[in-house]
Amino acid sequence: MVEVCLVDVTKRFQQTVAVEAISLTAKSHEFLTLLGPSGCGKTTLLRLIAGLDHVDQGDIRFDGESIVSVPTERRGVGMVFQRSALFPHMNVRQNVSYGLRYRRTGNPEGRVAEMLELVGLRGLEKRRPDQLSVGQQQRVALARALAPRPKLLLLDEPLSALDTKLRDSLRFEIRQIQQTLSLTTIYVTHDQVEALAMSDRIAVMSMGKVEQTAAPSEIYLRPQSAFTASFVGHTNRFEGVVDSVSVDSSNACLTVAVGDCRFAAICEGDKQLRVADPVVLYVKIEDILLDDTRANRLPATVIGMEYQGETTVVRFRSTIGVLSARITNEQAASLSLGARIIASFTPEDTLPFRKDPG
Amino acid sequence: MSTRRVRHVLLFALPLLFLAAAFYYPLLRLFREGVTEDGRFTLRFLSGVFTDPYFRRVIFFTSKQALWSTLLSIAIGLPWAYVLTKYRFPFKSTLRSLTIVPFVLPSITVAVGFILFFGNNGYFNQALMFLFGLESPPIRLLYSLPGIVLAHAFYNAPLVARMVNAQWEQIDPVYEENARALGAGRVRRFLGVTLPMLMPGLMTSSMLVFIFSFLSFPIALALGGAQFATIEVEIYTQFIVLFQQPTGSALAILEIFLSLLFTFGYILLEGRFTRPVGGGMRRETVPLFRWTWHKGLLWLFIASCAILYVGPLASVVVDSFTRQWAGRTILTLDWYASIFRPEYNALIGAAPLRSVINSLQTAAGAMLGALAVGGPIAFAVARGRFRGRRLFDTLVMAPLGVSSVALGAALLAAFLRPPLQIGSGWVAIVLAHTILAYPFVIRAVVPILEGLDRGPVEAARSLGATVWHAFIDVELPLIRRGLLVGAVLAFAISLGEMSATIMLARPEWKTMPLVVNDLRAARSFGGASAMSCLLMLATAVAFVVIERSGARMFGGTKWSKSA
Repeated sequence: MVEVCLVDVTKRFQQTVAVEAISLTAKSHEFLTLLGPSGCGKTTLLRLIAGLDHVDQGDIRFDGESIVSVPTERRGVGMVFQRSALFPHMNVRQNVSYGLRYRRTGNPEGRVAEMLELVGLRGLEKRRPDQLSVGQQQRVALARALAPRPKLLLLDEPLSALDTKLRDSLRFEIRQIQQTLSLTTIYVTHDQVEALAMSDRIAVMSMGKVEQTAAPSEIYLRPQSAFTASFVGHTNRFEGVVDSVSVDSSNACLTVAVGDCRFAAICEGDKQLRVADPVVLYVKIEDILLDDTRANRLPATVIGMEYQGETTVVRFRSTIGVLSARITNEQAASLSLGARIIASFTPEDTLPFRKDPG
Repeated sequence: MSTRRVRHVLLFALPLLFLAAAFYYPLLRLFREGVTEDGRFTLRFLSGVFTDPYFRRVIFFTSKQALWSTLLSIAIGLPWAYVLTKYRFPFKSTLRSLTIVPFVLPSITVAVGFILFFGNNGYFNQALMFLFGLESPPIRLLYSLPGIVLAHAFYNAPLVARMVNAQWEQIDPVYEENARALGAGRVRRFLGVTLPMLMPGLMTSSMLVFIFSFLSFPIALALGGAQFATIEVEIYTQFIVLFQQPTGSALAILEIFLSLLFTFGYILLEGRFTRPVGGGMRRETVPLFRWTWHKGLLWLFIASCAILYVGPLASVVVDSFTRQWAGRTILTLDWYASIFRPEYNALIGAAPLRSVINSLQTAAGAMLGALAVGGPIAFAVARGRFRGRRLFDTLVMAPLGVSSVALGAALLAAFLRPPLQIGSGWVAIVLAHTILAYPFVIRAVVPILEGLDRGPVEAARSLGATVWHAFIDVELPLIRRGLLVGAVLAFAISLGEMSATIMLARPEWKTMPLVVNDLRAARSFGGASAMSCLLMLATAVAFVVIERSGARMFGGTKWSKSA
């Protein structure tokens, strides 16, 4: 399978820069997700790889060969769109076999049957797209994209139009198919749950740039930028000023003044933070405990509780603002509105980032 | 240049090139003809048009009849819109889509119908004389202002009705209900609340009707006569009857100037008014066929409309199947036999069968031409984002503002006289029809293109289809309906077109509407009726095809013009 390599890719639409000097590699057989909010350039990047838009600067290489001047139809990609984009005037069989018209393969009938088997739609060959459910449409779109044996699969938010339950099951299926075929896949989504669940690696994008590329757990546990920290997971955010810094062999240890509180934060490597630098701190809501067992402590008052099934999210007010914490339902049972509590979290779970000016 | 660029340039440049050759160049020739004498520049002809009392009377009369036609169209169209909005009845949607008929029903057939029905010896007068025992015909409409005005209202009232109806259905009924709760009576409610909110639809449709009536030719020619000539008729007379090309050209220049001015005004008006009013609430409709006494007036209106619309058209049908023999009326197919005769006919200066063949050939040519020109322009209008877009829009829309007779005159000046004489008149006729018809292809295709999801086309590309294959496999099938409607409209318009054709056609290239006109002028109405019936049949077929394709295109936007 193909290895996709983006080198300093830039794309502008009129005056706005959609994608700015992005370098990124999707390794052979890898499931790479482009994760980011709408307008961050992730779909543009996918369309550039597919050849539906054209790069202004930089290069895109498949297995080391530049393909920027190769038209879409000869790039050998399979693509699934946000809305199924099935051909409304063709039935399921004609849709799936369409790609085989232009890429000669042995037995088109057999291939169509095989693909429909793969996505679990045998028996619906004669249906028209408007006679299918949204979920079925996306399965057909997937079968259609896979039928001509693409070297690379591109998926542009294929699940965003589906309801939660269907989304979860199809998510699992797509990942399974990708692993079975061992197909290089680039997946675009704004849904962090999808990204974390499916990917080998995630590239977090913001405002036309890649913030961080890493394995899901790495992205989740060790975000390298304030944006990644805030976008992935549910977090509390504080603003403060660095009070003291001590750097040992591998870690930097900070104390940060936030309002009238003082928190310790430990981060890997030296982040170039100095005394009196303004910083933001991120703490995931599941990293906050409602007791005083951790080093960073904060007295607070419970102002709300949200039962979410497996867990409860409790909201509480402190002198530095309103915070959230995810706790077990048993713990929640012993709490009531207005209860005075102590919240605490470890310095390791306290992630400091330089506060961007403005 | 990349292939993408080349493709785009070809897509946008080819139609412009065509317009340059078939529209703008002829227009320049026409202008030159109007301002030169023996190769020298002169304003003699232009100033003559303004100073000669005769031409001033013609200009005044043209405006006057257009104004009256507009007022009468509103008088008929407004109650019609009321009926469409307030009541429900069988075939309502069909009645609503009849608005396109004026665009495709050849106006010379309407003129023939009016003569047969409203003429001094027409069926209407005969019926009145019989019913009331009168000695002489009570109604004398023809060859005067009222005849022209009534025929124009016949044509344009449906347009007013449709556009006002569209506006009316957007008005939230809650306004009227409030007024009612405040104690306003029926009349005050209409004048104080409803009418002001209908103004946008009313104003734009009135402007359109005024332009159409100002530029209408066959009706003015057939029902006005020499004494009631409009500018269009006068241009025709100067060119074809009197061979006064410079004066005719000067008149055409004046008319083009005026019509472009009106069209520009219309576009401004439309731009200002096209915003939705109210929340699009579903309005209650009342069954029309449940008798209440206050509907008496309404039924009187409906009956009058039935007479106005059914009378002339039915007269044409009846007339085509009957003849007088020994003081009695007998059924006959002779008239139909006569129009399929291959021999020379002195009344029309050509063989009738030849004209049928001519018409079909011309219509086929114009249809292909309109698709070839209108199709790419539709793509450019729907998709194009490029520098000079406004200029492009203006250039491709300008032909809408030029009357058919003036267009014919321009093509005549450019192609049928030295130094450029391209082949027979047929090419020039097809060019004229193409220019008149391509806006309808644009109107039919653009809404579909704009509503088209790019997804399937891009999916096809990713599956290995080239741009061309994706267009053939995916895009074309998806816009097929619009192309079909555009093609049918173009064919029908060409089949019924008389104004430009009459300027260009030599005897061997006469088309069916010209033959109808010749037979009418020779007062040989049987043959005229038979041929009119064929044209009406073609119109009906076109209507059914368009109606069944489900196209909704005539609410009156800038892509519209009378045939």
